[in-house]
Amino acid sequence: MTAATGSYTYPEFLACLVSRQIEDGRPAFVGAALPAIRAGTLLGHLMRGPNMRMLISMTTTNVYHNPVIDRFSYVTDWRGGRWAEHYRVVEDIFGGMRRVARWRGFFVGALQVDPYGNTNLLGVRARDGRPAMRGPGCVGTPSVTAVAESFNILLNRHTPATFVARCDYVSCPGWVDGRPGAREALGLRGGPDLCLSPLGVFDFSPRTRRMRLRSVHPGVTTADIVAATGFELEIPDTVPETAPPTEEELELLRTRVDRHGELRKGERPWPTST
Amino acid sequence: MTAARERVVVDLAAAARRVESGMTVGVGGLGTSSHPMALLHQVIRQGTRDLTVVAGPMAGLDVDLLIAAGCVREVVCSYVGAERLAPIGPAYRRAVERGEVAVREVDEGIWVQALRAAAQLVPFQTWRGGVGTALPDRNRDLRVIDDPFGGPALLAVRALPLDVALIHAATADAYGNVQHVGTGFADRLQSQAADLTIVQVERVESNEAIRRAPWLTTIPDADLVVHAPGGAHPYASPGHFVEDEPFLREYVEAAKAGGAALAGWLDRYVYGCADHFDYLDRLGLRRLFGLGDYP
Repeated sequence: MTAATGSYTYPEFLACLVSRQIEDGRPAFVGAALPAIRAGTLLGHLMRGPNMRMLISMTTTNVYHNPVIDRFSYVTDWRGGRWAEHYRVVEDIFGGMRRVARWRGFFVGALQVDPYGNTNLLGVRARDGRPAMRGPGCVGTPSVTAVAESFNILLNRHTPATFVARCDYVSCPGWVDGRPGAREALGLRGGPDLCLSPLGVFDFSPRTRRMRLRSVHPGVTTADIVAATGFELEIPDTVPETAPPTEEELELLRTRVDRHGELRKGERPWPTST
Repeated sequence: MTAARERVVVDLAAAARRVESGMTVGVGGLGTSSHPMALLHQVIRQGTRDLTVVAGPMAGLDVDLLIAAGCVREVVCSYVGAERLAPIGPAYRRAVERGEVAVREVDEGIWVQALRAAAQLVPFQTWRGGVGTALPDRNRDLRVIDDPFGGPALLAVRALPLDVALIHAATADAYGNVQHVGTGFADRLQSQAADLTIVQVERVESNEAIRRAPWLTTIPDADLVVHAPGGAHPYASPGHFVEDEPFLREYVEAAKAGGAALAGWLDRYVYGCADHFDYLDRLGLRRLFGLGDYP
């Protein structure tokens, strides 16, 4: 299922998909665990966000007019501090949830996702029910997604073991059990908007709140996705191909965000479902 | 009129002795920045055991190292790792999967509320994030409670007081006035939630230097101050050093391998060093100051 990648890598493609979820006038959190999310969030800012506040390396800033957003590697990277207009203190972020409630375009990583967009970052159970694999932990995702206007989900792998009928543990509720008002009953605002995987883009049907195929990535078929998914997806009659990176996106990405080619390195330029 | 103001600067070993087996210990810094490594190495050297470690809330491999050295019974962090260098701390993952270290599952917001409640001397704080998740099943300090004002149920997060908070900062004077460069992450909160605050600094400076910019003072009442230049290595120390990536990679390799490789790493960089300056000698000036360039 290895797709022809043409002139861009999967991390570059992913960064472009992420960037399209970034809206002007809203705060955007630049995480660092995944370089493609970091790069994509910055790309969205440069593409269409002159009035955004970027939350970078525990600072708040706006880098719309910076010629190059040079290398910084980690969530707390001091090199990212050079652009600061404000330093963020951990307890102030979580003391300011009324601000976090304005966030859109926040990406939640996951080890598993279920049909309603409930996700798991805690770990995976063995067959006997005991924890078998310790996950990275839920970082700030339950708190942010409880209040944010909306959020998105990202999986690095798309297999029946990651797209599951039921998560072993839920660390971030999505549309819960799909019933109308299920999030509100828990006092949760917003809800998941998109889910991105190496195979396609998914959203959630407004009627059933179940995951629905929105587009297939270049070189991937609907049948590939059905075979790699451990639950029944809603599949519209016509499914478009995910729009590939535009020339403008790639140029901005390569000259102002990823000048050192971090997204073009690596042994696995385009992941498969296996 | 004749009494002298007490100076709180002590040597590393004296400070670390205040950390005793079985304590609940806050560890400052976040991600790959500002962990009090000089203090942590001394805690390892002195053989402290059964710690409950409250770090981060997004901890780095500082907590992984404490686990690798056998000092930890329980962890209260929303993450332990070093992002792309080690998405999950190798020693943390192994110890948790083997059941040797317990995890009190929290997210960052919940972690903040636990320390806030401790700092405010109330039994719990309420929070929204975590309702509808597996976290209350995996943390005995979380309960879903009714809203007395009639809204949806919410989370009660039990206060998590710290016996001691270990923090790395840029400077302090001899009276415990601490100034960070950069944000200070959650270090203020850790200090507020702790009975004892120990801060290691790049430089001990004069009280007059602190008074030149008192608005930069982040912690005005550290109980103990330790002079530990380069003391956050291999993590960043804002204003002084960036991360030592090759060193972190070397640790990750050793921690992944475990056994003799990990024991060798610990011997070389922790047990084999008499104190922090011995560790700096082992690193060498060239390596340490090579991390000082603003890139």
